[in-house]
Amino acid sequence: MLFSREDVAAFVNRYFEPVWESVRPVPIVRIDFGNGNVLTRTLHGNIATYVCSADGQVLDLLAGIYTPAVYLQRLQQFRLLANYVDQQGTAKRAERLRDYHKGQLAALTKDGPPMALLNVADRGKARIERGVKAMLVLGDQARAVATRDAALAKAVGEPKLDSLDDLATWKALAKDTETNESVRRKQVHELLASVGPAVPQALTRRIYKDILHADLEDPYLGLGSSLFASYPFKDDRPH
Amino acid sequence: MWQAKRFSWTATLVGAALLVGSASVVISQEKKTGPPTRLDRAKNEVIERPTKVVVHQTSAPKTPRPLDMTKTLRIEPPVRTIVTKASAPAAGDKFVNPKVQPGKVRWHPTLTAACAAASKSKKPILLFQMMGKLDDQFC
Repeated sequence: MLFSREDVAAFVNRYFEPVWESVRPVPIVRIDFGNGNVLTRTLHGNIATYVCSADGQVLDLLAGIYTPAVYLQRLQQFRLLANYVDQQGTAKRAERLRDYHKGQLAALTKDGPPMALLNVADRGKARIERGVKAMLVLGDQARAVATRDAALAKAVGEPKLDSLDDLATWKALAKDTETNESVRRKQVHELLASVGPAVPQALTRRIYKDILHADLEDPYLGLGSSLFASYPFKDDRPH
Repeated sequence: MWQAKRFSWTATLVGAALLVGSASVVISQEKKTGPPTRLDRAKNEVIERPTKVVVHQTSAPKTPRPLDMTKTLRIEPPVRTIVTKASAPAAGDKFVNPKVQPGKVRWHPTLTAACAAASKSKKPILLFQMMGKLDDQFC
């Protein structure tokens, strides 16, 4: 579990005010083999991580599950973003935020490197007071920041993979992360550039339905067609 | 004289008997050329029903046989029915999701509490949204 890792928990505790909330119960599948063995697992659970200002406005978000290393990289950028958008006062936040999301969307649409945020606070001050002064950089500078962050992320390390199942799970997680960083990040920037200032509750349903493909208003979470497609008695109606 | 009369009567009777016997043989021979004798009813109608009847009544696909009502409606009701009716009220479900520690993060209990803390600390809020509950084992 992501938040059971020391490095992730320490980073979150140090730089954020964390809170979790449930958007709905998770579907649980239980298979009773009839001999005392019961397999229990969740089905189609999905997550979103928002970073918000102190007044509850959404600044950016990650849709879906990530590997710990990439997750920490993104959180580091989110921490800088929170500083960047308020550098000219909260009145200018909406405008700076919209420009940021439009810029990221344009970069990802061209398959170029996304813009990156760099902490340019005095290093001594930053170390002592946890000071932060974010600057948005583009092009080669952004690429350099991404390379540096990737190296730092590599140092985070991967969990010990003791079995083939662990390895398969890890590969699936890495693949999910890749999709989240390409396809879903683009969709997130598109959404946030268009809606303007919003609280999480105003975005939740759209994020789950349009980006994570889990319609919270559908009792079957959009899985109905798959669930019932091959069921031989689907047309039967009980008396 | 008496003996001669007796002999002639006996001969007449024997002759008549032979005549009747031969007539019945002829008639029985004639019957064999007509429709065959009926077969044993018990075997044909009770034990071995005529093949045509068996094929017609039990395997001819004139109208599809209805599905096994017991299986489809009692043992395996349609999935949609199970999901909408049987699984909706959680009270009847014996499964209890065990509680666990929600990781090593110091979580605020509500978004409102996190906002209040963020106003003081000047840190941004990290909101983790999910299906299920982070402090449930299966989430």
